[in-house]
Formats: sequence, C-alpha cells, structure tokens
Amino acid sequence: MDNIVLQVKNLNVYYGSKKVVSNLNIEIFRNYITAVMGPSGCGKTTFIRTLNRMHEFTPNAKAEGSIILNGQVLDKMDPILVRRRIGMVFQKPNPFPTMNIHDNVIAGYILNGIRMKKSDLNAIVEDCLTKAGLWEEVKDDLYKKGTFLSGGQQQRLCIARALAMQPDILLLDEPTSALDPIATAHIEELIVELKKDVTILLVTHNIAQAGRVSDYVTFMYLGELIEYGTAEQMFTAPENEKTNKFLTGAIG
Amino acid sequence: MNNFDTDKHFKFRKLKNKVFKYFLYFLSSLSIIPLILIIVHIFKNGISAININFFTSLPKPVGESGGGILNAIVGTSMLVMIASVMAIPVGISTGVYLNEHRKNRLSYYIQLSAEVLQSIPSIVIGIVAWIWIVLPMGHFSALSGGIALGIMMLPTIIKSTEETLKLIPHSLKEASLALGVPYYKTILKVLLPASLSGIITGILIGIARIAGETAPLLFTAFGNPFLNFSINKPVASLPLLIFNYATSPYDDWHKIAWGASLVLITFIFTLNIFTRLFTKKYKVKF
Amino acid sequence: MLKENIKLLRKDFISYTILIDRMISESARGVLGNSENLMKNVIENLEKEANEEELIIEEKCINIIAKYEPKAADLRLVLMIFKINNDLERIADHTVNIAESGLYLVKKNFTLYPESFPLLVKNVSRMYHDSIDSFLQSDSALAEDVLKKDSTVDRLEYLMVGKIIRHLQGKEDRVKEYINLERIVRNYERIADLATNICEDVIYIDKAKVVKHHKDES
Repeated sequence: MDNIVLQVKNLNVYYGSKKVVSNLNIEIFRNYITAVMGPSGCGKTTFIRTLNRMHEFTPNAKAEGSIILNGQVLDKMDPILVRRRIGMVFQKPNPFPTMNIHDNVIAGYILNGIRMKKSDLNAIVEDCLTKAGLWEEVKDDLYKKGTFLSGGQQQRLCIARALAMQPDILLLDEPTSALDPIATAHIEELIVELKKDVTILLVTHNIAQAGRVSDYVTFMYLGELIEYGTAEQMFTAPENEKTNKFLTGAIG
Repeated sequence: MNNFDTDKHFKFRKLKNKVFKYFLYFLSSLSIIPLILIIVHIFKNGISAININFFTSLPKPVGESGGGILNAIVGTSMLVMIASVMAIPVGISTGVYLNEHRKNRLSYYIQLSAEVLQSIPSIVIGIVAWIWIVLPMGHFSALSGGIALGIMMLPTIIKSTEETLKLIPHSLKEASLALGVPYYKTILKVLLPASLSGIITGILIGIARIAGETAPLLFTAFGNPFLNFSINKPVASLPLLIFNYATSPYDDWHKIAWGASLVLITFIFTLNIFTRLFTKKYKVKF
Repeated sequence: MLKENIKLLRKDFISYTILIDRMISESARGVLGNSENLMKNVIENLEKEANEEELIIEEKCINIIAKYEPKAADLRLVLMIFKINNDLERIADHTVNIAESGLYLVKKNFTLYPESFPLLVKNVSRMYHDSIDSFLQSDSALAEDVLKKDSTVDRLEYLMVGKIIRHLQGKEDRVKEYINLERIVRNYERIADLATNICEDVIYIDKAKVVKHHKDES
C-alpha cells in the first residue's frame, strides 16, 4: 500500500531477559502524525528507538520481528542508512555545542563527510530553518553557536537538523518535555506544519498534546499496543477499557 | 520574655562568630605564604643570573665565569616532547575507552592501574625505565627519559579525558548517531571536540607535572653538559641541572642553579596560568 | 490547530444557519403563496440536509473539546455552537411542521389566514436573522433587541389563537383546517422562542453572563 510508510509486524524487544515491547503490530500512514501515548515505562520510547535501530547502542537490547520501511526490510538495511531515512529528535534539545547554527543544521552532512557545493548547503540551511520556523529569528546569527539560543529555539534547531537529512519519518521523543508552555505551543504548531513534508511519530506522555497534534493515536501499556485509531475516535470513544482509564486519569 | 538583642549571651555569640571568621581567614592565607616565600627567594637569588647569555650558551667548566643552560632547556623540551608523543594518544584513547565502557571488567582494571600508576613514586618509574630501556640499549638516552616521563604523564591525561567526557551529555552522542554518523566518527568529530578544553587542560597539567621531575631522569636521561638533539643520547634537563649544580661545592654553579630554578618555576607558573585561561575561554557550554 | 479547527467549525456553522434560513423562508413563502413545491422541498430535501449537517457540527464540537481542550472564550464558543446547533435543528423541525400543515391547507383550498399572519411571519423571520447576526458579529446589543421582540410575537400569537377559536364557532366541518392553522401559528411562536434562546447564548458568549430566566435581575 502506498500510503503506508512503515509496517511493524510481531515486534518484541528485550532488555536482557526482560521483555519491554511485546508482540507489537502497527502500520504508520504517510504524511500523518501518529502519537504514541502511554504511562512512563510502557515501552513507547523503546519502541520508537527500535524503529531507527538506536536500540543497538543500548547494551543487552535485542529486537525481534520485522519492520518494513517503504517496502524494505529494516534489518537488512545498513543501520547508518536507516538513521538517515528515519530521523530523531530527543527530549532535551541537543545542538552540537562546538558548531554554529549554520553548521548544526547541516551537521549530518559535515559529520558524515558528505561533500556538497557551498551554495547547495546554504540552500539546505535556509530551507530547513524556514521549515522549522527558525529562519527569521536566526538568519542574522547563523554563525553564532547554537547553544546560545533559548530551549525552544534549540529544539527547533534540532528539528531543522533532522529535516536536513530529508528523512521519510521523523521520530519525536517527548520533544517538548523540557520546554516551557509557550515554546511547547510553538513546537506543536511546527509539528502540524511539518506533516506535509514528513511522516511524524510523536512519543508523548502528555495526553493533551497528543490530542492537539496528532491524526492517529496509539496507546501502549506494559509493553503492549492496547489500541490504535484516529485521534477523534480515541479521544471521544476509545474501544478498550484500559485506554479509557488512561485518558480519564485512572491509570498512568 | 527575653530580649535577644540586648542579651549578654547573644552578644558573646556574635563575638565568637567574628573570631571564628578571622581565624579561618588566617589559616587559609597561611597556605599561600610558603609559595610566596619560595617565589620571592628564588627570584631574589636567581634574577642576577638571568641574561641573554644564560639562555643561549652552554655551561662553562668550573672556574670560568658565565655560561648558560641552553643544553638543559633543549633537553627538557625534548623530554617533554617525547613524553607527550608517547602519552597523549595513549592517554586520550584510554580515557575514551573508559568513558565508553563504564561498567566492564577491563575498564575497572584500567582505572585501577591508572590510579596506582599515579601514586607510584617517580624514582621507581625511573628505575623501571632504566631496566626496560637503558639496560637493553646499553646507554642512557633522551628516549628512555621521555618514556619515563610519559608514563608519569599518562594517568593525568587518562583521568582528565575521562572526566571531561563524562560531563558531556549522553544526548549529544545520540544526536550524532541518530543522524547516521558512524560510531568512530561520532567520537572523533563530536565527543572529542566538545571535550577539547578539558583534554588540553589535562595535557598542560601533565606537562607542568613532568617538567619539574628529577628522579626518573637520574637513571635515564642522565644529563649532558653538551648540546644534544639526538633522542638516542643522554640529554640534560632543567631539574637535573639544578640538582647537580646545587649539590656542587662551587658558588658559580649555585648561582646558575638559582637562575635555572627561576626559569623552571616561571615556565610551570605560566603553564598553570595559561591552563586556567584556556579552560575559561574554550569551555564548551551545553 | 485549535484556531483553525474553530474557524472551520464556524464556517460549517454559518452554512448551517443559512440552510435553516432557507427552510424558514421557503416554508413561509410556501404558506403565504400557497406554493406546494416550496413546501415539499422543505419536507423532502432540506430537512434531511439539516439533520446531516447537525450531526456533523455536533461531532466537530465534541472532537474539538476532546482533542484540543479549548479554554475560556474558545470553550464558550464551542459549547454555544453545540447548543445553538441543537436549537437550529429544532427550528428546522418546526419549519417542517409549518410546511406540512401548509400543504394540508393548500390541499383543502383553505386561505382564511388571519390578516396579521404575514406580520407574525415577518417578525419571526426577522428575529431569526437578528439572532444569527448577533451571534456572527458577537453583537449582544442586537441580541438584547431580539429578546424584547419576543413579547410582540407572543402577543400576536395570543391574539391569533383567540381569533382562530372564535372563527371555529359554527364551522365544525373545518376543524381540521383550523387546527392546522393553529399549528402553523404555534410553530412560528416556537421558532421565535428558539431565536431568543440563541440570543441568550450570544449574550453568554459575549459577556460570559447568563441571562436565561433573568438571573441578572434577581
């Protein structure tokens, strides 16, 4: 199917002997925002980290099952290529402290040693910063260090950096949990804007945020995918009792 | 009800506070007095020996006046360079390894050895270098001295590299890995640049430490009254020269020893100040 | 996000008020001009449309509240649209009642409408327009005007019903026609009531003040 960008079948993830994600099946739709909700420790972060194979850096982590990205089996791809196709933004803004704003955006090119014409790189910088809603704010300070920006701006810089690799999917791991409400609102607007360019998977423990931003919502509990549906359906009439309890604050 | 403000007891307590405060001031300033005395003393005795000639000429035989310490300056520079070439790559790599594998057995032993190495008396390191290098080679050499100093420098560099890397948020490494940057490039291009200031500080402190070492050089670099640029031959060094001249019975040599002390102390002092400035200026903000 | 969704909801809501307006005016023109086509259109087509549209708006309101948790003025707006939406659907039902009774009267060739009947229709349509306008322009002064007009309509209805009862004496063969006429008048009065409900809601959105049952006077 053309509108399915990512297909996960029978995914099990273990940390040592502990099962963190069990038998997870899901299909992610192209150019939509899918929120992954659940109480802390439900395996949602682990789940999205397996999607770009970042779990391989965690000692003892092991994933079973198949993940198919645009018809290609993820396990058979080079992990480095996987991470370029599936970008990731983390909880805490993490721009490279030794680089200026300009270089931070194209850090993926610089660090990977991809050589391009200077004018092309500048175009990428402007394009991605514009998409991340940061261009107007930083266009005169492109050669200053990224760490002098505010938290929200730093996070948008990180989003621009991920966009620069032109990923198919962007994984956002609680991208606003370290930000104040106004910066959070900015990022949320940005996420909604971005869905026309990229498919977004948003991990959040903030129910309200999942509601505001997402088109599809999944609810995970104790490593299992409990329910998956449109945001409207999940927020007005969830089918599963556990989802209902979570949304009404009875669990989590 | 008691009025505490006019209470006699209260006034006494205030007095006690004050006394204690000045007592602290006094004790803490006590610790810088030896340093000041040493510097003043060396300066007073050494300044008269210092002139251009002192830096550009070789020592003269006993009885002739004048003469300089060029051989020792060159020798110390060579020793520091050899030590750095040996210790910096090994030290940084070890530090990176320790930071990357915090919980495994090998890193536990490496850490332990680094700590033990740091506490081994320098004379012992000198003897070991003598057994390992001087004996097989059959003669004293700058190389053996440099290696002995390098071994002394190693723990400082390992520790400072590891400590600075520890301060770098894990998220930074993840940011790079998530961009598809391979592991080795992540370490070389992201982690090391971000911890550069700490690593360089460690190197400078290490140099400051070995520049003044005498003991390990007694059996290795040995000393040399002539100018030598070969790492295969014995070389002079500042601390060795000071040791030899100061223990000699000649007044002229005593004077040169004072001058050399002044040079050495100034060098180490500048290195320390430079380290401070460097850390302040290039400290990476996360 | 929230703002855009509220904008879209408002747009849907406006087209719904236009549909209801069309139902009021087509049923009125049908009754006054004895036009079967117009009345049939209201009964057969427009009512279905109105029912569907009501469900869509209701769902949108619920989704906005569930997903975006609107606060303050936004919350009041969504809640009021949710309520007014319900009122509008009832107005649609009343226009269907009017059209049904009108159709019956046309079939029976009954034309004995009281002479103040067009005035009633005009007043009620005007009240509906004004209530919707006051909502769209958040004009609570206009809404308060509409509240005042309600008594005029009540008086007209009262007089007309009295007249109908008097006409009924001695014309037992036309009871059904008169009952239908009374039904039309009563339904207009109900529409006027619903218009005043809307106006009360408008005042609530605008001033966050409940004027229902004259709470502010106590």
